[in-house]
Amino acid sequence: MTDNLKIIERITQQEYKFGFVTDIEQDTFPPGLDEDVVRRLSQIKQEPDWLLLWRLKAYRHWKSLTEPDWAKVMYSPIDYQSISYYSAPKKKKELESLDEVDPELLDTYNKLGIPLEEQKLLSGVAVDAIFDSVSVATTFKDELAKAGIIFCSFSEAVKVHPELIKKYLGSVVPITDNYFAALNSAVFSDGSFCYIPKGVRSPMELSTYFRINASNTGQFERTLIVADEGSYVSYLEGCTAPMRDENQLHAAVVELVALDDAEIKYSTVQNWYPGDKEGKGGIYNFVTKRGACRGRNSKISWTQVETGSAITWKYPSVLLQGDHSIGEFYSVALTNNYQQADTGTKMIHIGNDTRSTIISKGISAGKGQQTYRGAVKVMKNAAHARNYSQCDSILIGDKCGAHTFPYIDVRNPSAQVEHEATTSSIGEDQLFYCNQRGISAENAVSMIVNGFCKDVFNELPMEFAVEAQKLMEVSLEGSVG
Amino acid sequence: MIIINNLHAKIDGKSILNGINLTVKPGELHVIMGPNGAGKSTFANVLSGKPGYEITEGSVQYLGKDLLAMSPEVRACEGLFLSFQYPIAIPGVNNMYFLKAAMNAIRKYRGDSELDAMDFLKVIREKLKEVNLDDSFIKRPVNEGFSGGEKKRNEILQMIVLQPTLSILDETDSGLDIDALRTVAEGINNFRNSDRSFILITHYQRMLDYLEPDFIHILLDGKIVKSGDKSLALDLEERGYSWVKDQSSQLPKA
Amino acid sequence: MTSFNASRQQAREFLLDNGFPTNKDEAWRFTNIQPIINQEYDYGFHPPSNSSNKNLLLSDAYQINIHSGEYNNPDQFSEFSLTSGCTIERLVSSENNSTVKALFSTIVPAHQDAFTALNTALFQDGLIFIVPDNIRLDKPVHFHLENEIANHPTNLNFRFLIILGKNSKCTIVLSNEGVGESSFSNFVTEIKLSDNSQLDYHVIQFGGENDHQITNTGISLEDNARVHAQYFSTGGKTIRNDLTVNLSGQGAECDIRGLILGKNNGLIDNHSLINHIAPNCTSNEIFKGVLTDTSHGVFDGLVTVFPNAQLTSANQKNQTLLLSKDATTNSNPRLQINADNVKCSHGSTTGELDMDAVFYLQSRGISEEMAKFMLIQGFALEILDSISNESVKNILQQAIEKYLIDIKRTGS
Repeated sequence: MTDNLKIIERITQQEYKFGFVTDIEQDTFPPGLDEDVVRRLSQIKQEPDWLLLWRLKAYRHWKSLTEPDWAKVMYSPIDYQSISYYSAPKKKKELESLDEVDPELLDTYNKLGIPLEEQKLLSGVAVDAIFDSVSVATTFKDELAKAGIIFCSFSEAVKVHPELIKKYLGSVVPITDNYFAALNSAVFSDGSFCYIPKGVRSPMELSTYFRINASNTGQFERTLIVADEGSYVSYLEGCTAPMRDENQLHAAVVELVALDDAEIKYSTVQNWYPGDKEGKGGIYNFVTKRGACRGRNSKISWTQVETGSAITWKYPSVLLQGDHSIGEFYSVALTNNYQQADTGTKMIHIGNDTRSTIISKGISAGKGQQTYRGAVKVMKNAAHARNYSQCDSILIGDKCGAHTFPYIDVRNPSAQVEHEATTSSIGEDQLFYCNQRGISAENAVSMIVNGFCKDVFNELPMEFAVEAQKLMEVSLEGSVG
Repeated sequence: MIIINNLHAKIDGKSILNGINLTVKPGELHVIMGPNGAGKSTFANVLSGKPGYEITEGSVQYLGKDLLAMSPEVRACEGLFLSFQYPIAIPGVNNMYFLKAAMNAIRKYRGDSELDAMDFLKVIREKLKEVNLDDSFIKRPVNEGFSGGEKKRNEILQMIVLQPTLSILDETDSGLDIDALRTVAEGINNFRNSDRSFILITHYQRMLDYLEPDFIHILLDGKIVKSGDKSLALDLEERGYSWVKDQSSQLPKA
Repeated sequence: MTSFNASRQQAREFLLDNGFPTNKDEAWRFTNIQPIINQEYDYGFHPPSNSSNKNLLLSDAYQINIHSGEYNNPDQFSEFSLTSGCTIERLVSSENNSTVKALFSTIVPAHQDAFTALNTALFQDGLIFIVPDNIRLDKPVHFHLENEIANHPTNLNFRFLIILGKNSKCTIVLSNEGVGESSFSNFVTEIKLSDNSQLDYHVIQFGGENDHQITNTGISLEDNARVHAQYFSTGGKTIRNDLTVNLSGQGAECDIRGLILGKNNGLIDNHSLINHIAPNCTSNEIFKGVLTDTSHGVFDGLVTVFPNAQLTSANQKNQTLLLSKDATTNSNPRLQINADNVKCSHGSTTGELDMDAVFYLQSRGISEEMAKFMLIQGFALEILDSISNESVKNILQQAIEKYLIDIKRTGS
């Protein structure tokens, strides 16, 4: 066991490899937040009045709130006045095409393994890249436009498709939803917008990569995806940030709307900087993600692989409003060193014959603390709702914690709600069995953990699944037990 | 091949092995029999390096090296294979992936090149036939949801794929019906040659109907108290362990 | 220990400082206590009337009846002590007893919540019950409480302090029958189990139509001690049970079972905390609920494995059957694990009767009504499987049957 522990330690002590800083000229607001900052932000983005008013309303509401403390995470208080609420690479002129993007920036994305140009040609994934606060490039726009799909930065959408933004912005996550959503609504700087018209199946995966670069800035992006009747889209999201000693705040909002017979598949591989081995630095990832299955037979599926961030606070949820709608949540979360994660989902059954599935796999190593927190609510008039939840945890080492907090609220007798959970360590028997066949403890642990996560990885698009598997191996390096 | 000299082992402070002496030469098949609690499985576990046992005395020379100084995976790479009495399930990890990882770890250790998926598939398809298993078997998670017989056949499959020099088979016959028993025995027989040795641990004589053992040893209270040829197993079947016990208690203490 | 008066004073101050919880408090989200605390209660002592206790008479047990906080026959204590070898005394006259001094208000502290504070401040009386080392009682000990005074809503605050000595064994049944209009009983039970002792503990609650019952129980287990605790609750306007089990000694085991049969507009709310403090302990917990009319069932269980509690085995389960369209349930089975070499699991299922099973029985010639009756009965009876005492089992079986006949009659 002690040998194994040493190997586990070695595995988990692998350094973060996306920790570089891009040397680029940036326009950054001085730290601080008041109504004036909100106005200036809106002005820079040349927003219409209604959006400024919406932001101000959100700001005023935010001011009336106190930061929530119910999650099982510990951190020193955030000084919201010491954060800069806007930072953007300095623009030389309006960008006409990808070729005109600052080469430093493109180099950054190449280092991250997102070769925008190459992707344009080869992989068939349309990418929107968000650098600190603004969207820098969206690939494949023309090809998508042919299919009638709108995929652009949020700022652009506000200008070009105001009617869609006005209709759907805040319709799933209202400004009053929670502390971080209110803050985001007041100061969000950019994000991605995507609209899939009636009957269209997106010919490719859509993808957004988020990158925090500047120091002392918060990142507050907003994603809105609307899938019109009978459409389908698969959307991928990846995130990285440089290594910095201070904690940086990321408070995003993602809203999904699926109309009749539409399906949205949303996959995230979250690898924000987790802080160093002593728990210094790292991203505070306080994110509100929610989808509304508004139409009949609509379906929203969240898949997330969470290996980064010092603190993760997120509960991708589904409001099952349409009859026969389906909500899914597949999650792998790994906490190592001093990482803390309080994550899970909410499935709110409102329509008839709605179904939800929750599969959550948690891995805790080092001094990591992890909580699954999930709510399944069946409203009074939601006949024949079905939910199945399976939440398993593995503990590696004796200094970490794994906690499972489901909340089940059933107000209709025709519901069938089932929750199962297990927590255990990696079996010494399993390790020995692998050893006896010649496989080292280190490889055995990564094999067992990947096997443990298989049900979730299976839900990811192929390229992402491979990436996720590698990420798990890297994140686990130094942790065998 | 392996020279075991005065081996003593304890678990949780309790002595289980009390001085085992055994020498196995290349090509030989030794059978170890004994009642429950005699230390048979402990013996197999200690040889393969399972954590939790304390070796208090004795030595084990394997292919001229000190076996007890090696980690479990090095022992495996050196060609020592344990067929588990209770094979372990590893959810989500398929048999093929597992076996390929094992085979390549061993090949790497020996300085051979690693096999790619296609070559490996060729090897394994051939071996599957030998133990009467179909292709779908290797896509299932390791031992998960396997019947008792499938688990034991999977152990033999692993053995013939990994090609060990010394195989220790811990009650590979238990829980098998007569057809599965024959398949497993055939697997072992086909695999036997003048370079490979076997230590077979069993309760019963029935497996020996299909195999040709060179020696039978009887293990009692952590010691080999009697050795002989195949006829010893038949005697035992007929007269039970109490006969050996009585005899051994009359022996002068060594 | 401080004197009773000092404890009462401290508890009163805690209550004044903190007030009663509201539904904003996580632990009281589903428990509406307004009807309880907005009621004026009669705190006077009243002589016991002729106790009814028809439902709850064990055939072969040491029986102690407590009526509105008074004993029918205090003389029976000495007789009981003589025959059983145990000690039983009124709490109010045991202030100087060394066990009381050492343990009173330590296992369930007064500041745990508003109702333990209320009890500590106002308790009318209580019982101290000690089973000495190596005494193994053959018959169950049955404490039966009734809370009824004609036309007066009463608030009975009663306490138990139960100590099992080393290697001792006994079965305790605590039954509470609320028959009065808007009566409110608020009990605190503190139990200490010494090394190798074994307790079977039954709480049986028959709520009257408009009464409220709150219990706070703390069980502390030392090395290799075992407890089998069983809650049976039916009826009432509000039944709220809080149970804390501390597995403080190595090798201790607890098996907690509960069955709630909700009807009318009653709320039955079970909260439990199982703390694995020492290594090598085992806990099993299962609560089942059957809910009809507009009743509401709540299960909130938290199992915590402390950092050094290696080799813990913990299992937690909640199953609820909803029989009417207006019945609701909340289920929060929670695990909090801080040691790695553990095996913990929990599960929760909620739903209506399995109609395939109903059909299966029908296809064998059983009427639909009977089929449902049988399935609900089977669901409920399962929880009684592990009860070793036949007369306790009989009483509960009858109660289940009565509940089922009642709901059949009202057609829900």
